[in-house]
Amino acid sequence: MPIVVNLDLILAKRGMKSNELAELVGITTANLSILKTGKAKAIRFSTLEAICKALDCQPSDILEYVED
Amino acid sequence: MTKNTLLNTAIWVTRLLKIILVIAAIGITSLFIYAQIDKDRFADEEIVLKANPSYLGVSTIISDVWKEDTKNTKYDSKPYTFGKLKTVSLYINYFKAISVAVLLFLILRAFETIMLSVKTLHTFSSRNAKLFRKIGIYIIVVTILISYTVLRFESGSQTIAHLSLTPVIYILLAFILAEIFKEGEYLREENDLTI
Repeated sequence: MPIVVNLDLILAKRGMKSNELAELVGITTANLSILKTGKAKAIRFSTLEAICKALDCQPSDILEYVED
Repeated sequence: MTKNTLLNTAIWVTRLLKIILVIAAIGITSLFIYAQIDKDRFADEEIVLKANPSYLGVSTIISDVWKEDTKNTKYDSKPYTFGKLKTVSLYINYFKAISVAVLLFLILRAFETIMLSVKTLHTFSSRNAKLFRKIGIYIIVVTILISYTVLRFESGSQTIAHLSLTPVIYILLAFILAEIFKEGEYLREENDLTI
């Protein structure tokens, strides 16, 4: 998929662990892992909003379009 | 979904029907073996094929007595008795009956598997789609097997041809359900991978 999720990068910059983010966002670590590994087929605006709020960033910091 | 009475009843009915089918198959086989051992026991039993009443289809019986025999004044007053049934015809019809029983058993088993998956909330899966497709194929084979029966006797034959639209509707329903379940699986997967 040409949409790349840069969640690992932002998490490293913020010095936050995956389970901490999952707890803040209110999703399971399994679902966060799906998102991080690029297996997710869609992301809800509410989830994106919660991630941006927790990481203090913009949606464009997390999602990137890379041509195949 | 553990307290769904209707679903639980349907599962039990399916299991009961499976047991009845097994008993029927054993009964037919026992009768078949017994008829081989004691041929005189059923020798005078008359065999009469009956057309199935069908709302959407046709059912015909063709009875035939060999003309050569009537010409040779060997006219048989009771040509359709078990004792005069040709062995090949008996074997073919026995294997046909057993095949139908096996296929009906497989259809019931597939239904039971589907209903159990609904009970455990795994309704939309590729396995259920495949099972519905299998059910459709089994019904096609059963329809072909039961649509034509020939009994050949020493001095005559009885043929029954039965064509009905009802199984066609069941076949279409099974294949449509297979497609619905395939689409359902895709939607479930899409929903599961939406974070």
